[in-house]
Amino acid sequence: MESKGYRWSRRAVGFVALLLVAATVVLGLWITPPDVVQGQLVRLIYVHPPVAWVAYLAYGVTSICSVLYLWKRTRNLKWDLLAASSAEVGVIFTGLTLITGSIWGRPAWGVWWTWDARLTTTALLFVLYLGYLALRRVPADNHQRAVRSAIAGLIAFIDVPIVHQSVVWWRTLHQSATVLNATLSPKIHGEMAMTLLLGFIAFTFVYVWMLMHRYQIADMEQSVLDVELEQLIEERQREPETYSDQTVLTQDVDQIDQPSKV
Amino acid sequence: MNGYVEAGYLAVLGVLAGYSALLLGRSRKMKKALLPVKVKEKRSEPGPTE
Amino acid sequence: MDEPGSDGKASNLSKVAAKSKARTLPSKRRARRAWAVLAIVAVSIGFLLYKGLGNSLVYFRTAAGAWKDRAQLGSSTFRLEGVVVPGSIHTLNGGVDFAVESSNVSVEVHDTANPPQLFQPNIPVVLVGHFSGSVFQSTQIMVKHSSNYIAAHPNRVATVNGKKL
Repeated sequence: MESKGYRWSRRAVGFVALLLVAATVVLGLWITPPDVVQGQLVRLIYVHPPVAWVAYLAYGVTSICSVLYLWKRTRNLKWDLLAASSAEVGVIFTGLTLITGSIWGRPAWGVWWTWDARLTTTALLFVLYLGYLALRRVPADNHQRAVRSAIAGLIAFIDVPIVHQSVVWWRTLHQSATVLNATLSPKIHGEMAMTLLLGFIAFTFVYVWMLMHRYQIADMEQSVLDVELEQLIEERQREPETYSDQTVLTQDVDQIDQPSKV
Repeated sequence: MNGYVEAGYLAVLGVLAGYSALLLGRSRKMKKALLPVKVKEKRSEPGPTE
Repeated sequence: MDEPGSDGKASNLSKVAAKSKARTLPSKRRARRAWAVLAIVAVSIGFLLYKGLGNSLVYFRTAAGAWKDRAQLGSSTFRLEGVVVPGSIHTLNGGVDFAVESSNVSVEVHDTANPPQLFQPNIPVVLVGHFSGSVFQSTQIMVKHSSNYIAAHPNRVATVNGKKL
């Protein structure tokens, strides 16, 4: 099921993620200096852009996996499960982007929310991938579900570059990019820049750890589903006349040791 | 600091910790269901008393 | 029949039976729920697109642009952007008077709402309100801070955006 190598690398990634996040929090909250304009509020920069970046990254991975599934030469259900796992983690991080942005917006801008292009397209991104996850729950066979969601995932990804470029293409209340701007010249100084970079790396590690875990769960869930399906078919074929709930259940309990509900 | 900064960090750490706990819990549950492939052949056979 | 062991097993089985029923016959219920969620998602997407197209494409007018079009704008409500002119801020009883500037055009503002904590001279702001004569009557001030972050460390940095602090 799970190879030793996979388990150990997951644990190592988790350990590094924990250390890096702790370092980011300590540097972000206490070591870095306040900003000339924003004062203490600048400390939110060490978490808000990094979680937004992870959301982009997660949806990027979903898209790549979707393409790998759609392409017949690389088609494998594992790509579909990886795409779904990454999208779920992406939704968590998009939610965090919206929450931290709102918390920062209230004191810095004066409002919790405003309908500018950056905020609106980010909210749209959140809803689009919620839709992707909902679509996956519509019952279908594995292949049908994989194709359907791969296409949906690729369509939803169109919003990612729109979110990123929204501050350039339209007038927004949201600031333009500090680091990933057109000239790629970070407009942030010294230890603040270093801490921001650390934040990006730390939350990327958190993402990788979560993805590894989520994928493994998806993989196990899939095998439970497959086992159940096979059993049901087999049982119906074996005793088409005398089928009753009771007989199915006795075997169910004995053979698969009560798998939890998926 | 000013309340907002702390709230932001708490939100991030809280949500990530919560989701991690969820993942760990689900993973443990699934492993329990799948890993020990105990094929207990304890079919309800007619006991000797019957 | 009245063996305690068999009783326990039976009730256990019926419990699993309920669980298993929910697992083996869920397709209709699960499908209905999934479609309901998808419908909510579709409505939300529609709402966001409507909001986006209605608000985001021209999120604000610059002070210079709005001043030029003020006859056309009349007393309609819109968002106006400009940099707060230093020395123009006068705090009054029921609000604050100041001027905002863009492309060397300055617009006088009377604001009746509490300014946010970062409101200060030389900072870009987005105001919600309408023209009343030549004065912009603002009901909300939003601060549009820049993408530059500089440590509050007087010896290291002397300017922000080319402006003396």
